[in-house]
Amino acid sequence: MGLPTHHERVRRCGAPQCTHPALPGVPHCWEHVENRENLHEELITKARDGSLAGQCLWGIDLSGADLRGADLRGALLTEAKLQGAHLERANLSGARLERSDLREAQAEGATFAWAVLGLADLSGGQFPRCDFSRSNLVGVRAVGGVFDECNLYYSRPGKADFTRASLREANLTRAVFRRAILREADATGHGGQPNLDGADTRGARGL
Amino acid sequence: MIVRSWMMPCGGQESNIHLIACESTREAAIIDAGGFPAEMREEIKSLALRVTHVLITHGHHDHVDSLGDMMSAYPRAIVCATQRVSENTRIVAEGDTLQVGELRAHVIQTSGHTPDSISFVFGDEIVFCGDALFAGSIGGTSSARMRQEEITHIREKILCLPDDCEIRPGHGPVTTVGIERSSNPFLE
Repeated sequence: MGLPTHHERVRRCGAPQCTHPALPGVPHCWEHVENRENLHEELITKARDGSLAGQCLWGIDLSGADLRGADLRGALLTEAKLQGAHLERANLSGARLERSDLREAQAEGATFAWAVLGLADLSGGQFPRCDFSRSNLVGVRAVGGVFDECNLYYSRPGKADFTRASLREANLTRAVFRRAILREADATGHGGQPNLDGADTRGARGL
Repeated sequence: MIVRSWMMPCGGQESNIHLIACESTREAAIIDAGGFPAEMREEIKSLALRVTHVLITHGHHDHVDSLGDMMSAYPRAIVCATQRVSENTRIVAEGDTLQVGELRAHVIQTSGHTPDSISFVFGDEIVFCGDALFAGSIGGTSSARMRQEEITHIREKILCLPDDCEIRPGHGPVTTVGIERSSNPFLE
């Protein structure tokens, strides 16, 4: 993979006692930055032209933003707020998205290969035809999310909550759903053999 | 710091090979040698890095098979391992420190998967743990006693690190201390 990562040229936020990394081009993190509205627009433009790949965007609020086709490979998006964001065809390969809020995100055809999504909330999101191969989905909440025709090859959704989620025709080869909740999930027509050790599949279809 | 990982098919499995480098001095360490992908060699060249160390987490074939090729390419590199695996081996153990440019790594014993498995911790920011810990899982062990030993090491030496500390294992996706502390079914 050899993806870019957020570890290079890291600057800490200039606010006293803040340990979060600063956003690109400014001296502070999202929590302490001034003039958020202008920065918000600037960062969306940068995301679209690919210059935020591998950048530190810790805790950023891009709720509802139009990030269709954005290049965010390897970006640090820990605790980012992306509720209702448009991420269709965006490239988030290798991005750190743990504890992020992706509720009701619209992400058809996006790439999350190798991404770290552990403990993120994907509930109610639309993720059909996404690439989640080799992604970290440990402990995610994905209640009612749509993952039809997704590639979940070698992903790690242990202890994730996929209650009432739709996984129709998804590739579940070597996906490890150990102790995941798949109650009333619909995996009709899925491909491959997932690991369902200790998973709760009550009322699920196709598993 | 510069951090990259590559995945190589290895006997029906997929093994990760990692690279960490100091941005200032361009000195670099490769972690495990289950493969030696051309993309890695090209990245080392394009970033003008100098490989000074090869760090081996344990001696299973999917972590050492390409060590000979690696040492041919970087003959001055020091191999840090718990056993002699090459001419330039430096035997390391729990408590040792290594310097890769301005980056300092601590060696911690994380035995269980093998009796001499070790992990390398770079400044509380990133851990290369071999097959001791995976995203949502732990390394396979040969007995209940070894399994308990592995879990104890993980709890006492890795889960004590900050939540955002990144864990790059020998197989499968990257994870963090916070995710594993919260949701790894084997560590409850």
